[in-house]
Amino acid sequence: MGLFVYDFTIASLYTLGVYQLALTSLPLGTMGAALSLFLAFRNNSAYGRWWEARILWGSLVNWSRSFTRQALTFLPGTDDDDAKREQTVLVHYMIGFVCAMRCNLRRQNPFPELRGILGDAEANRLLRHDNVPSAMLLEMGRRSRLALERGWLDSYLYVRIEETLSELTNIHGACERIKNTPLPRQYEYIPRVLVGFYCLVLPFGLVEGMGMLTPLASTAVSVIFIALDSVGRELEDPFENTVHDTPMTGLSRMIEINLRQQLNEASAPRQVAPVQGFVY
Amino acid sequence: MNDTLNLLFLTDFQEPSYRVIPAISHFAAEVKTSLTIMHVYEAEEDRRDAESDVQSFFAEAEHYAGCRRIAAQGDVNTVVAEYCKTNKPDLVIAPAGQRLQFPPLAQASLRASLLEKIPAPLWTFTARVTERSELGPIRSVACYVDFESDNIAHVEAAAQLARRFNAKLQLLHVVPTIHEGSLGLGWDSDRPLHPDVAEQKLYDLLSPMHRGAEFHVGVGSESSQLPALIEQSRADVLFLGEGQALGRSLLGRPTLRSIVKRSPCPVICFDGAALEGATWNLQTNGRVVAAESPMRELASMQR
Repeated sequence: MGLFVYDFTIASLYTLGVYQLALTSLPLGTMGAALSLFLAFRNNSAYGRWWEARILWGSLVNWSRSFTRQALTFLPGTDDDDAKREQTVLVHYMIGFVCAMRCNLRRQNPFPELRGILGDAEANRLLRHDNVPSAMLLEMGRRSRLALERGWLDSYLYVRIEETLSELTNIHGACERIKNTPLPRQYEYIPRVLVGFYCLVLPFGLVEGMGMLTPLASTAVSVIFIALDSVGRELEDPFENTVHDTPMTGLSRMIEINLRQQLNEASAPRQVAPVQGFVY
Repeated sequence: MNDTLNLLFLTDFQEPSYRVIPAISHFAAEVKTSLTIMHVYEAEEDRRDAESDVQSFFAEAEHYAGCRRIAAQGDVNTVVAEYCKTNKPDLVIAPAGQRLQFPPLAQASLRASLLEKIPAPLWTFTARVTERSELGPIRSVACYVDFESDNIAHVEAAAQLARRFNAKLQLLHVVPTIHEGSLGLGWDSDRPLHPDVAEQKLYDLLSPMHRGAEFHVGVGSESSQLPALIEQSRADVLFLGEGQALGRSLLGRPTLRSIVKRSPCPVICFDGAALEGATWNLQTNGRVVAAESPMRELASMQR
């Protein structure tokens, strides 16, 4: 709206006789082309980060199912009550790890949820750790080692579980890399300044040829550039508590439902539906 | 005896509502809470859509102890006031709406209306706060004291929260600039006129409740000095008391004062109808007891 009023003011002044306002459009055309390329590169980088985040969470879905299958099939579930309990604990830890990772990336506190998933005793053991997902993977590794020592696993099966835990560690690390390494500051600051400058100068280049139609054309072109800049900025950080994020709440709920059903638990939560069209 | 803090989270599913979820998670991790998420929809909206949205919003709260979700139809002020009358929440969470357009000139502030009507403190987050990416745990609690009112419920609550969260407590005060007209200021007010006197009064006010607080005193006008004091204190939450949060617009409608709108941190307002409700009594072992009315004489606290 403000841009339209600005463009209208320039067009009106030119029509009323302030002809000095007109600029040649050649430099504006060149600048627009260069700015488009710059924005395209920036948006490609931003989209790459957003898509990589989605791929990582897709891998997390797969590996969480693999870990659960390993826990339920490698450990003897029918003959030994302790082993059956251990299966349940390991799968609950897997659910808790997904919640903790989501909270870690969104900078939420995971403990209100972990108390509900693991119980107070297990959750309190994790309190002293800054990196709760990592601590949970360590605990899952320790429990697997104990299972080996108790004869529930042989060395080969233990190694397979350890490989799964390593994959989960890699996914966690990659998500942290995206979270903790933003795009270079110049990618955020320079396009915004250049787009603003271009929007301000554009009507001066168009007014001689378009007269009172300048506000329409100038505003339309400016909106395109502003939208390009805005899209890149929204996408570049996929873990920022916005509706453009990777839909971690929906994915972690889906993982929890799948894993609880594999455990034959009666009380699996319901799936998360989009809220006003957005899956968060 | 009630050992749980009841939180009422009002949401319109806009982005600010998502942005405040980390703050709620940190709060719930430190204090035993019972969370109610409420969405009030208008008659034109579909009931099923509203109920589906409120069930899916902040889905992770299903693992929180005692989480409830309510979708109610009607006028927001009426519905929320009715709910608060029967359920008596201890804290109402209401972030500012998303800034999508020029604000209508004659529109009343919803948060101010709620603060005027509901008998519970209001925890609100301005647009400036929700546009930041992350709201972390509470490590520093600030409380503004102006000595205009005898009601110190907000000071007590701030001290309790600071103890419970093991956070630094900081009291803020602004002393007016001294000039020839200042001679008349002390006649009908207990406000100190010198920073040293202000610090001593703050110390005397706080000493029965809390040890080890910091005091920040600015000189000048409240509107210019207070934001600077808040920035200086690096507060994660600001407590405001009677007459500090709620004001009146030119049309006589309730409005939030500029300090709430411009605060660089979330604000908990003990103003309006909240002054008549019960206050918290956060024990250091995490148990919460609903107490009586917060009205206390300042002189009795100093004895």
